Amino acid sequence: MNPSDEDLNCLLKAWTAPRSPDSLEGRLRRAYGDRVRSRTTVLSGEAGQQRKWSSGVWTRWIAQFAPTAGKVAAVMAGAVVLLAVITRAFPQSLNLVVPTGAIILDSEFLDYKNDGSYAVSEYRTSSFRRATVERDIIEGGETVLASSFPGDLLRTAAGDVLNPMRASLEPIAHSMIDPLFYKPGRAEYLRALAMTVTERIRKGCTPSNMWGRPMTVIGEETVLNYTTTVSQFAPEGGNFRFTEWFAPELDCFSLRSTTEKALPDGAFQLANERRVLKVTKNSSTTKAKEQNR
Amino acid sequence: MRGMPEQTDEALLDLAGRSETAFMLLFERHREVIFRVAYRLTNSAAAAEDITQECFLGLLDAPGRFDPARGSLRTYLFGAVRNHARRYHGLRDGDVDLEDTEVDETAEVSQMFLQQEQSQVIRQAISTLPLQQREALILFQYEELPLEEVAVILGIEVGAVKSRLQRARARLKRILTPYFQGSNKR
Repeated sequence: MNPSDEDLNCLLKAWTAPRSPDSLEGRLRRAYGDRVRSRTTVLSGEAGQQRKWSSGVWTRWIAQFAPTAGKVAAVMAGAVVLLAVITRAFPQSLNLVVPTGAIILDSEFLDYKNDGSYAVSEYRTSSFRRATVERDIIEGGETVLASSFPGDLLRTAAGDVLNPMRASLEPIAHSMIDPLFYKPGRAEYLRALAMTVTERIRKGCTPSNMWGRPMTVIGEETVLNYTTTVSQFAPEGGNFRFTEWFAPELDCFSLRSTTEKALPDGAFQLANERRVLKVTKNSSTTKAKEQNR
Repeated sequence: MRGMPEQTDEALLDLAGRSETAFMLLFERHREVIFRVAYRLTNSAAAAEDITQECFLGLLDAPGRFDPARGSLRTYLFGAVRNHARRYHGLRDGDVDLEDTEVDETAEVSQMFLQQEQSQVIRQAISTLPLQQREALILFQYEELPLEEVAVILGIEVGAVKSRLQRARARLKRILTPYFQGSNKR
């Protein structure tokens, strides 16, 4: 007796395919990284011949401007020193670099000892730029406005000089350098980029990755009244694990992160931690330095 | 921002070469269906994993090959799976497998069917089909794609798809007859 069409359809349904393995994602991420790197290498190789020729041309071209270049370097160094003096003398000038609408975060960094006690290694005030379509900002950019290192006066002093300089110069550098990339179709690129960021936020800050490897979502917690997605990265056979608390409402900026080291018995012990203590979402500027004192 | 619509596959594909996030979103969107088809075409989870990876990486190498006017990205990916599966089976691009090769319908095979799980029986029966018939059957029967889309993926006319499906089904019925008789007796 030959089976009917219905019999056959019923029977065909019995063959189910398995779901794709979870490991496939990590594998593809690694392959993606390799592919992007190898592409860069190929490009460098192709450009190599041209560079041999062009480097001589460039050297000669620069050489003829050498006296001018020296003067330009001297002027720039002078400007940097002046900026450092101004920001030291007038800390409130720092406020100028915090863009309207930015999110300002106060954080502390903790180092844990084996007995579970901890010491604060750094206090930091930073501004976090939300994702925009005007600039190449992916997953939020943090600008350190001020930092202090308890017990380390030298490092604190260096931060006092370098942080405001970097915070002032970074936006200028971005506005000059960013437009050089992805020239054709830049508008579409930025729009699609913003949409990618949006989709990740909408999906509760997933997927997240660390060093190109996927992080695993292990739960949800409320930190400073913000719902966060807790994601973890624990490399196979590694001696540590890294956990982050991403806040979708803050464009997936992490409000807490911990690194734990593996103990011989398989348990984990906190090694260090970053904790955001305060989030300021309005546009009013913050006297960052004063807060850190 | 929350109310924004989901971006299209095309928008993500434009970004994929420069943004891992965009690339992984595309992967998340299509991974299961691509893996499933690859698995059914090769009968091997390991091969399906390799093929799925190659299909997505292929998007990075030649994004210009995908033409939205000819079909969706999903259709394009199905085509890529098919090409990889053909290579897996030792066929080069452009080669055709022999549609009317007689399959082994010996009593031993039928007897073996009786001792196996239903799912395995089907898997084995389908694996005896010529690849061209198997492709048509998997896309139409299991992925429930319309005949027109199957035709685009396989690069043939709708009529040819129908004919492959008919032959595949007839052959399956023949192969599975002893199994039906066996299960009726049981």
